[in-house]
Amino acid sequence: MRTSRTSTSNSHLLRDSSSISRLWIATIGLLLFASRTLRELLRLPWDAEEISIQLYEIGWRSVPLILIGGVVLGIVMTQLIWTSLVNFGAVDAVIPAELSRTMFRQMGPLMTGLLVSGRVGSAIGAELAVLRITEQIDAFESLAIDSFRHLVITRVIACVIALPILTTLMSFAEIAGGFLWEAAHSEMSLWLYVGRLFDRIGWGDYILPTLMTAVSGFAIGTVACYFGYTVEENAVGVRRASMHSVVLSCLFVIALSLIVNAMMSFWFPGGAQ
Amino acid sequence: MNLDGSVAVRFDQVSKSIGTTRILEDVSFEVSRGTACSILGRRGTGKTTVLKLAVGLLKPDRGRIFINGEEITALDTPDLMRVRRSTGFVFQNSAAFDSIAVSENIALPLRYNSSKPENEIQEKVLQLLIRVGLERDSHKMPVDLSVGMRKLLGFARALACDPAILLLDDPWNGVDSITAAIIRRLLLDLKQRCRTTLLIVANKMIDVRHISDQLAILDGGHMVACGPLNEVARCDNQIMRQFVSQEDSDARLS
Repeated sequence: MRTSRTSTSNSHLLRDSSSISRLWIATIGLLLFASRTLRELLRLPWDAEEISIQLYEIGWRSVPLILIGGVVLGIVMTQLIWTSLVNFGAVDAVIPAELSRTMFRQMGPLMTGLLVSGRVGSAIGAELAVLRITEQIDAFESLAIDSFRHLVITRVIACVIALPILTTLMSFAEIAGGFLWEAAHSEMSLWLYVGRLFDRIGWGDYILPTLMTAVSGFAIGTVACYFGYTVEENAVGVRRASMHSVVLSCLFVIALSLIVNAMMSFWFPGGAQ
Repeated sequence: MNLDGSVAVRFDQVSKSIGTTRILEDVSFEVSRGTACSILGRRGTGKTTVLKLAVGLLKPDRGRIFINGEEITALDTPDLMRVRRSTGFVFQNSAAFDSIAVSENIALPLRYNSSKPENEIQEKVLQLLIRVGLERDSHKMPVDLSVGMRKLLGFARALACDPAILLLDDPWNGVDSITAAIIRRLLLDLKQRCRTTLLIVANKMIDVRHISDQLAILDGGHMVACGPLNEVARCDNQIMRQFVSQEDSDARLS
């Protein structure tokens, strides 16, 4: 019995140490992959045709999700803001300004990053993993086509371009959702609502957080491509590539949101007016 | 070993492991330009690894590999790409690009590796489709093709840039007898008319008997025999005897 327990405990230790070494290898691998991606991004020419295909897949086809998600989030956030502000004795008039400030600075970039991580991160991870295990990536290489530039760089560039645009759409969809809630609960007109939206925000509240989503795009694209491009197993590998892509890119998006929020509070403590 | 310019492919004491498994051990052989060499061996003996090493998809742990006189094991990526433009690779599972149509699969290497205008590319694609008998399927997606047709698509794609060396990973695997005959005819035509060097991985002697000038036998990662086909086919080696007896029974059945 004692022998059995000892061997079980040893196998746990072995499994733990092997998990740690795998994590270590994956971290180093991801850093090397990201540095190669950065180097290749700076090398022209880019594959414009493939980038436009990926922009359609990653950007355009994400628009319905972003718009629906934005409107719903706008309704929920307006309700929350309204409840909080009314408890402090505020009036309806300040709700549009508070909502737009929250959406442009935080919720828009964060929610866009998370939604795109879920939709695009998993798709890129699974797609590249399938290309790898069906030897299509080897086929590109055997035909003297640089698979890294054709598959990875094009997807990362598409993510970098698409994220700020989708974030802008998301922020306006959230504001539209806010207006829907407001219209149902008060008699504020659309023009008054729009007029009050920009009372307490400036360009700085929009530009920096939105541009920083390009970094989120780089992180989502690179992480998803890394797990897909370097997969070594079959069906299990595809599942893992897809899952790890989503988990890690979501974590990057959240971490980046915290950093941007800290930067905004430091540079524009009272709002970027 | 022959070091003159008549050698298209040369392996010099190449060893390769994947993980802790030794795949190839001190493999040496060479293939002269314009000839066909077939590598026979049971499954899992490292035949596909030889082909992937020859085109630089894998790096050897030890040893040197020369393609058209250039040591590819010492080349950086741009030079390796240049060497790859002179080779074609037909994958065992065809590895067709499944998100683009049949004709686009063939046009892709031409768009990347040549400066031909679009009308010439389309003309070349049509020629290749006719050559492999897929001209009616040019607009289909690879998933809509049978295994044999996908294999022919892999052929056409590999031939798009007129390679001087063609590497084929078990081209007869899983295809019907008519497609197998088409593939044999294509290979003979390439060898005799285009003087293309062929390095073929196969599992059956009957498939390569009339194409190969040279035969290599791999067993357990070791090259147990290599030389002119008639000599190797007569050698007193257990694996070779099995292949020859299998060929006799295949011939009787056919």
